[in-house]
Amino acid sequence: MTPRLRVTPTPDYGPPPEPRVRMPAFAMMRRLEIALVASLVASVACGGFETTTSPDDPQPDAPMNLCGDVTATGTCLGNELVRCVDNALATETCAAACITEGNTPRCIGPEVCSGVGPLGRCDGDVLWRCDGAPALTDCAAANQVCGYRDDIAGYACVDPASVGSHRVAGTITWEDRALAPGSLADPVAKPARGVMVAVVDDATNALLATVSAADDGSYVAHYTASGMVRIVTYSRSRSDARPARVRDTSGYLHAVGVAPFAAGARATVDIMVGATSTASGAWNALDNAVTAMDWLRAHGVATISPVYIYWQQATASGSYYQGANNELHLDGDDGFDDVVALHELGHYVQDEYSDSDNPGGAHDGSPADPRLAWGEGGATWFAIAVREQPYYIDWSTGGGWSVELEDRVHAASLTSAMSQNVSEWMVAEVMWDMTDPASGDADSVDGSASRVWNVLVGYLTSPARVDRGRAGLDLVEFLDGWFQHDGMMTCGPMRALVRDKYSFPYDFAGPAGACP
Amino acid sequence: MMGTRRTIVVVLILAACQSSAPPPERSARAVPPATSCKPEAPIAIEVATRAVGNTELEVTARATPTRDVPSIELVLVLPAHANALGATTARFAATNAGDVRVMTTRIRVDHRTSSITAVARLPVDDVELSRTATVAIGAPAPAPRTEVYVLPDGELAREVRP
Repeated sequence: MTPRLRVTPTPDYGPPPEPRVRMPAFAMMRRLEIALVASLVASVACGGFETTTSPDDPQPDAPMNLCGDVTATGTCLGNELVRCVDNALATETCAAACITEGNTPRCIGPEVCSGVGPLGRCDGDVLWRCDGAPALTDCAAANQVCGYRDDIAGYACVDPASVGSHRVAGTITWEDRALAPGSLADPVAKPARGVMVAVVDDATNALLATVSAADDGSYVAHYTASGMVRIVTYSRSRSDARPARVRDTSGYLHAVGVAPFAAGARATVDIMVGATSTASGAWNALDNAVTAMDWLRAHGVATISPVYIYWQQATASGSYYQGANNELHLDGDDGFDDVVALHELGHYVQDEYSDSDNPGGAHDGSPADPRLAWGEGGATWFAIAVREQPYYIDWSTGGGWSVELEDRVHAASLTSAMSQNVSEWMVAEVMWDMTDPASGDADSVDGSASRVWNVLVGYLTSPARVDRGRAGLDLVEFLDGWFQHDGMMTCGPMRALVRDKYSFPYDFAGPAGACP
Repeated sequence: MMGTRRTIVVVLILAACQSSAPPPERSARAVPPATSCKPEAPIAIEVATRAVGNTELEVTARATPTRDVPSIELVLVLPAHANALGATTARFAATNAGDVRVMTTRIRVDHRTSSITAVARLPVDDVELSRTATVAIGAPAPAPRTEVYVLPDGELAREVRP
C-alpha cells in the first residue's frame, strides 16, 4: 500500500540550498507569534484568573515552552520543516519541498527528481512531477487516479472513468555493463528511463495502452480488454524531451515481451532486458541517447531533434551518423560502447545544433585534414564531456582499445601553418582542457562544458564567423569563438595550452582581437 | 530412374542429419568499414576454424594492414572450456600495407555453443588500436522466438517472446 502523502508545494526552485537549521529574525518572530498564541490558548483553558496551583503546573523556574502546538515530530510550514527542540522552535529549510508522509513530515531534495523524468511518475495514486520543481499530488484526494494521459502530458491525475478498467504497473530494467578502458563490467540492472511500454492484445498484437516508463523504470497503464494480453517494452522513447528510437538493421524496433495473461489477472508485471539478450545493446544505445538529450536540455537546448539509431547484434556496418535523416548506425560490437555511441551522438549534435565541415572518410587518429579532425575531435569531446571522463574507449572481445585524453599530448607543429593537418585526439584534448577546471590537472585553463558549449552553438553557427586556417570549419574557428565569447582575459592560460602544451601555431589574433 | 530417386533420398537424409552438426569449417572477417566515422584500426582480420577429429579445431588468424604499420600482434581469445594446444599470441615486426600475417594453432574443445575471437593490435602514432573477428563454434545457437508487427503509427516492431 502506498503511504498517503500530504504535500506542501514549493514556491521556488532555485539552486538547491543545503538543508540547514536556523533561527533568523523571521523565524524568531514566528516563534514569538506561535508562543503568544500558545500562551493565550493556555490561559483561556486555565480560566484566566485561576489562582490556585496544581502539581501539573509548571514550576516557576521550569523552562518556558515556546513551541505551542508544534511537536518534536514537527510540521511543514511552506518550504520549511518546523520542529520543537528543547522547548524552542527549530526550522529547517528544505532543499526542494516539505512533505508529510503519514503523520511524519520530512524534507525532500532535488534528488527525488532523478527517478521521475520529464513525463512524471505514479507512486500508487500519488503523482510525482519534476517540471522545474518537485511536486507531489495526491490524486485520490480529488477522487482521481494517477495514470498516463498521453506522450505530451505524461502521468497525471485523471478521472477514473476516463481510463481502462484494468490497471497494471511494474518496472522495466535492462542490464548495463559499465565501460572502462580495457574492460566491460559484469551486468548490473538499471532502470530503463523513458522507454515505451504497451499492453498488447495477444490475439491481434493491437496496442491497448501505450505509456512511458519513468526514470526509475516504473510504469502504470490502464487498459480495457477481455482476452489475453501481454506487456511489451520497445526500444523507443516517446517523450518530446527525448525523441529517440533504436531499430535493428531491417528497420524494426527492438521489443521484449512477457508471457500473455488474462486481462486483469496481473496487477504487476516487470520486464528485465538481460545483457545476453539479442536486444540488450538497443537498450544501452537508447539510454545513451536519453543521457545525451538530457545533457542538451540542461545546457539550454529547448527543442530536441529526433534521432533514429540502428543497432543489431553481430552486424559489421561500422559506426557512423547520417545527417540527412538523423540516422545513427552502431556497429554490432558497439552495443555497450557508451563512448562510441556518444561520439556518434556528438555528430548528431554538430548536425542539429552546431556545425561541422567534416569531409568524412577513414581515419585512425593520426594527423588528418583539420576539418575532419575538428568534426571527429569535436564529437569525441561531446562524449567525454557528457561522461565527464577523458577517455575514448572502443571495447571489443579481448579488451578493445582506448585513448586517455587528459595527460597524453598529440601535438601539432609550431613551425607549420595553422592550416596543417592535426590529430582528432589533439582537438579533443584541447577541448577537454578547456572544459575541466584549472586545478588538479596539467593545464591552467579554468573552463567548463558550458563555456565550450556556448562557442559550439554560438560563434560557430554565427554568420559573423570568419574562416581562418584551412578553408572550412576547424579548430582555429573554435579558438576564435572562445575569445569572442569569453573575451581576452584567458590569453595567458590559453597560450600556455595551445602553443606550449600542444604546439599548435594559433596566432591569437582572431576576430575578437589580439592577445597581448 | 528408381536408383536415382533412392540416391536423392539418401542425399537428403544425409543433408538433414548433417544440418544439426557444426559445419566443418567456419570463418569470419572484419575490415575497416568504408562507412564508419569512428576511428578505425587500419587492418583487416580474419579467423577461420577447421575441424580436426571430433574434439579438435585448427584455428587460423590472418591480419592484413591497410597501411604500412610498425608492428602487429595477433591474439586468440578462446572460450573458457577450450584448451589451446599451441601458441595463441604472435608478434610481427613492421608490415607493409597488403602483406598478410598468419597465425595457426590447434585447440581442444567440445561442441558447446561458443565463439573464438581473433584480435589484431597495432600502434598508430602512440595509440594502440585493434580490430576483432569472431567465429562461432560448437552447436549453432538457437534463434530467439520473435514476432513482427506494425505499431499504430506505422513503426515496425520485432518482439522477442519468452
